[in-house]
Amino acid sequence: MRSFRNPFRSRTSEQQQQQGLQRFLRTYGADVLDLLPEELWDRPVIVRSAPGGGKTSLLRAFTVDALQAIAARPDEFDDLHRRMSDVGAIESGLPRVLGVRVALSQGYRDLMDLGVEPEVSRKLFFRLLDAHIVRAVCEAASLLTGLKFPDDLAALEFAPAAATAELLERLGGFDGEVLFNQARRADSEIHDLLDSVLPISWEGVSGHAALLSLRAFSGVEIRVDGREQRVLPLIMFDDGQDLAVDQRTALLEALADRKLDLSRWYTERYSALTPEEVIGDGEPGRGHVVVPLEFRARTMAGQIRNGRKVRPYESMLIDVANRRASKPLADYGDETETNFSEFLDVDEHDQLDQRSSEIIPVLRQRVIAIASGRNRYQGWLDDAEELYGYDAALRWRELEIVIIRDRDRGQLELIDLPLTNEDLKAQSASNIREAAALFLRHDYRLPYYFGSQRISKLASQNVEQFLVLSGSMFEDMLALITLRRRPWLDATSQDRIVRATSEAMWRAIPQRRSYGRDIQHLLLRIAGLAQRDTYRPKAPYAPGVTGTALSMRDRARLLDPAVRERIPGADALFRALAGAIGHNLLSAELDRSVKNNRWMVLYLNRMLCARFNLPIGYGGFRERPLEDMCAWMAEPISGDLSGIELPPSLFDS
Amino acid sequence: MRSELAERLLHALMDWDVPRFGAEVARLQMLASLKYDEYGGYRPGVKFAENLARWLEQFDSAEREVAYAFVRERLVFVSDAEMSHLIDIAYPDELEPRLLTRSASDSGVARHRVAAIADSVDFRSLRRRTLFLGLSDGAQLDRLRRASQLSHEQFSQDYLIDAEQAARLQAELAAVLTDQKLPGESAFRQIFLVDDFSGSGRTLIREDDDNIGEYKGKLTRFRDRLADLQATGVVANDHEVGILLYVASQQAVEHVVDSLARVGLGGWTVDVVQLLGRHIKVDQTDPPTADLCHAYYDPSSADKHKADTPIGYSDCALPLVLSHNTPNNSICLLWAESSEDDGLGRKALFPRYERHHKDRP
Amino acid sequence: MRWARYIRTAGDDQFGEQWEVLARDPVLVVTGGGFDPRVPRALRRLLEVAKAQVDVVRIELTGATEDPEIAAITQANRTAVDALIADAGGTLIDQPFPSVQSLRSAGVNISRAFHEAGYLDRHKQILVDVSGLPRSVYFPLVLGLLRASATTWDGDLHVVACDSHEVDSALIEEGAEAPGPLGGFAGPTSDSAWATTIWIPVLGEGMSEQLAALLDAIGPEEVVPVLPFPSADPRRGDNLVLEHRELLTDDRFAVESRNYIYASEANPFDLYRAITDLHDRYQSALRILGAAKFVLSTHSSKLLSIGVLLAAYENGLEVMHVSPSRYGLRAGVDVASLANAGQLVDLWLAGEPYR
Repeated sequence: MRSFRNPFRSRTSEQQQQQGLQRFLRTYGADVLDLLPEELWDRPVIVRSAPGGGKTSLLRAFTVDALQAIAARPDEFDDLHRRMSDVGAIESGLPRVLGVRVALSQGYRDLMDLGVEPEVSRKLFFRLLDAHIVRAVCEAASLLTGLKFPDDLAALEFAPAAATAELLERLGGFDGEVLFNQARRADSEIHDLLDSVLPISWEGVSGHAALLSLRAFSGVEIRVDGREQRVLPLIMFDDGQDLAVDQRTALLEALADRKLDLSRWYTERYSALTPEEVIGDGEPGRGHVVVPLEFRARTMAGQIRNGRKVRPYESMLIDVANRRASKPLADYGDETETNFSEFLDVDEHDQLDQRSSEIIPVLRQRVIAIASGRNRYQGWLDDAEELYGYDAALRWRELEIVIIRDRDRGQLELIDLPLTNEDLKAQSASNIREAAALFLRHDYRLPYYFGSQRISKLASQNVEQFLVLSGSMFEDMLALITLRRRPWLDATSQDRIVRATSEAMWRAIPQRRSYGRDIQHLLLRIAGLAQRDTYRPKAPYAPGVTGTALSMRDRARLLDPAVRERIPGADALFRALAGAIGHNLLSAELDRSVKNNRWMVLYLNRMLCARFNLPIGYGGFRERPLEDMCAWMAEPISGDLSGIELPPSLFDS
Repeated sequence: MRSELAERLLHALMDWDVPRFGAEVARLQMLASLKYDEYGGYRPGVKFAENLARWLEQFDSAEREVAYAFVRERLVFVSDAEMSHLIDIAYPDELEPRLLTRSASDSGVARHRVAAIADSVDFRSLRRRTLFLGLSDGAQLDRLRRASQLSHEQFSQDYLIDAEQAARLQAELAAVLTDQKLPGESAFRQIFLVDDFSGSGRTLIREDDDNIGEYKGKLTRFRDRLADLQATGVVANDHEVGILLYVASQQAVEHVVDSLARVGLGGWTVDVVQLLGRHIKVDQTDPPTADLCHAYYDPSSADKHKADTPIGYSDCALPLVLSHNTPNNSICLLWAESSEDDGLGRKALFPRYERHHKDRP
Repeated sequence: MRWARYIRTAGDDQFGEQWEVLARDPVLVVTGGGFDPRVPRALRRLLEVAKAQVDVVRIELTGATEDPEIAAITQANRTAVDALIADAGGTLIDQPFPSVQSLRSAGVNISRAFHEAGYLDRHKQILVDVSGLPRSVYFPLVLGLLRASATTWDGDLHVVACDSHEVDSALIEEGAEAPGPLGGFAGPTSDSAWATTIWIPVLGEGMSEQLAALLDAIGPEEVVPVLPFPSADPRRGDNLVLEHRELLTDDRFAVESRNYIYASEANPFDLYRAITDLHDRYQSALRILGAAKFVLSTHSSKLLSIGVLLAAYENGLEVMHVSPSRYGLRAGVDVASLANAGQLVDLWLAGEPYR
């Protein structure tokens, strides 16, 4: 039997080999670079996102071998090339920055647990970090200059600025080989300390009083066999959430050093922040440039960057998917003309297929009954009679909502004059049609979650989430190809896959997250609230409610430990909220001004919306007082929450 | 047949929608490439997928679901790699511990002192004075020998080892004992009878239908041969006999142990590397499949060596396939092919190569 | 190969018979202070047959659990162990869980503290009951004892596990700490030049999240999965292959049929041998290119995990792990029946058998 490759199933950012790099660059969505701030090179840049938000991939694109590949093939990687040139990472066909990624997930935190004074731990931290930075710079410089690493390091020379010569000396000296060897010794010495299962002997163990390497490499000239390389070091620290709190603070302080003459970026998940910072707004100021990736992805579309309009993030996702799928589609299915996303954009009429005769008369009867012979609605009804298929169903359902709303206006307005099509346009809108589509799904299980637009929105600005969903879509396409059919994925199949993916995400919460059951508990309550208000006959918040909100005042109270101690359930809420926001299960928007108050709005992850039959726009929310939310969390829970459907009766019919 | 065609054929046969089809084909692909395609009973070029389609075709659609569910959930296929692993661990984990125990009790050393025992000349002598006899080709003694790193001259493919070979092995033994200065007479003290599989145990030992109270089978035949070997001094008087089976059912083990006791051979040991518990028997865990076996059983499959066997010889009801052949203790749906001419034209999923076949000269 | 021959005792009765002889001399039992219902079982059996003094060091585990059911079992275990030792007249020492910032370093700290307490100066016979200890604790702990027995300590080291599929599948693991090496098993320093990286995961049911996290963290060129065979359920390997199909068909490293390792689910020494053999073969085949980096991980039973521990110890290999941040019990589980499920398996790892 044959095996087809699913191009969505492998992440490429972690791949360090040359072969993996080409594939990574070919499928990378260059638009992400538009989310970066103007100021990239002088001040420290802090990138934050949930897991799978694309931090590591972003850094990968700036590593020296990626920049070399992009610079060497401007035609193949045109989007990336243009943007890298715009930001100044590539100039005259050569990398201008020596991009170096330093992973912070290599056991630094363990240094806090050696049972020694914090001062000693910090010194070891700096020494180990210095060793890793030196090693990474040596490796990147070798790559840039075509030297074999580590064999040819002796040919590499670092010429320091006068003021930093002494620092470089302390790190070993001026040539690549001695620097690398000293770094390696430090690494292995500390490695052995950390890994020791027997009591440690501290004789002869030393550390660094400060982070030396950033200063040492500031303004350094890199030479190979005497020739100067025109590059600026860019040190990119990845996964700061893995550091201990003290280490993170120490590193961020070191990065903020104004004397530094090299670029430094730093990424972390929200989980690096304390719950206070997650629910609050992170630490302010300090001269850092903070880049919250999801927030920027949600809000930057349409802005002008480097003379170009930033495309919606969803368009970038669709682009990424099309690139990933294009070769497999061509190889397996001979599909060279049609994109992956086009195979998702099926004709809406197909959704109703043979069920027209079953559904439309019922909807029609309902609307006629509600209109109850009033002349006022006759024009609308006549118009609806002209339509057929899904359009007809949608219109009838829309009219049902609009007429119910209309009837409830003051009696005075209900003069029995016929309303026109223009009036319908005035009283309805795309959001009501969206609600109508959702109601049709609810009433008749007609598909709703389908089409490339909705599919890309379901990603909640998270690349990984999007790739998982696309991968499942592609599985079905492969099955169709096996059957010698074209891989059009009908709306019903897409809707089913979305539901299944949403369900899997929901069930994974306790498997993947600390306090997962508390998080599920909170999300269940928010979803229940949203569902109730979405499915009211008048669709009051059309297309529906997908979130909740806490007033900024209540939020401040929640942040206060003394208040939390007083209110039962407050601690659980605090933890669950921080966990849910940190993992992108809820997205928080601070300081939204509505109804004479200021709010922290909490939207459900769009993918989870599917499990709870909610719409996927960022629309309505229903606020709740802190006491109510705490009371939710104070309810006893037992067993597995993953199987709970909400509300229990909604889909029984 | 191209595998793509076989997959489309499957789709035509099974009432699956596209996603189910995709998922099932992915499962089948996984196990076909890992195991099923290597089945030794397939003609050259034939793969599992097309055979599955051919097999399912004979059932009506409700039966097909039952048959497919059996393959999906219950079929036990012991691949070549798995069988090799069983052989590789048989000596270090089953047989050598027996030798260590015996050597420890001979010399009065505590059993747990394995390094000391293994180093002793007594143990090395006992180990060299161990003889391995194959009860069938499936014993794969070559592999067992390599895994044990013992001498060629301790293995014989034929459990009824002839006098000439026995004499030769004994002479070799004598030479080695002298050469390595190991104690003990040049006669074998330990015998292991080796087979790959036993489903009912009845090939090994069974009561004679014609003479109640009499037993026949390979083990009783060997008992008779053993007497000669002992008489000629090839086998020592203080010999012990052990039976090693790579795969065996619980039913077989109980039958063999019980029968051995009845014929006064209760001292013979039985070791099984992969035991198949009763919980895998199809008639107990999967009645719909068992019913299907009865419905599709073709009496023309019976011969003088075995009676009607819808759920397998001796009603073993095994869901088992070994990569080189399917045992006749497995359910007939797995292995029994019959011709259209004098039978019902049944198709098997893993056709069995019959050692006794009425059409074969 | 240190454990080419070994002493392994399976079954509660056999365990009793063995210790009836061995416990004529004093024994130190190291046990876990957790909620696993198997905790008191080996100790109870041992005390039934022991003639000499039996002392216990109980390793406290993190107490942070709000689940009242879990707290109740933890307390019941404590009470049971307290009573057993009080009746037998031994001493019971609670070793506190270290205060750590990184859960990963808890294990090495526990091991260091154990050695600093000087138990090895006083005891010649140690039985580590891993039933109630998580991997992150018993891997470094047993490693420390193996290291000591290779150098300064000449006592006998046993590990006992109560192997039970029922209990394993009744456990819920919540949250996933970042992947990292188990304490003491970080392997050689990361900046050696490796010819290739080979990942050997011991597959288990329902661990796909952990496997996916490790795959990303390790970035192997080759994957050699371990399947349980022989196994009480002869289809278990097939089912695991199907369950983890996505991982096993990842095109970054096509796992071919010959890549699989089969290992007896009941005998850790089989897995130990298999990994050691594979390691030897690769290192000699790849000699010209440099060394192959082996990374192990275990997602299966306690017994198979011990096999990983032994292979990693002998060959100096890295063992990667994703710790759950919280444990729980599946709803509706009958705790009393779990306590009696499965059988005790005693592995004599160092001391008299090997001299």
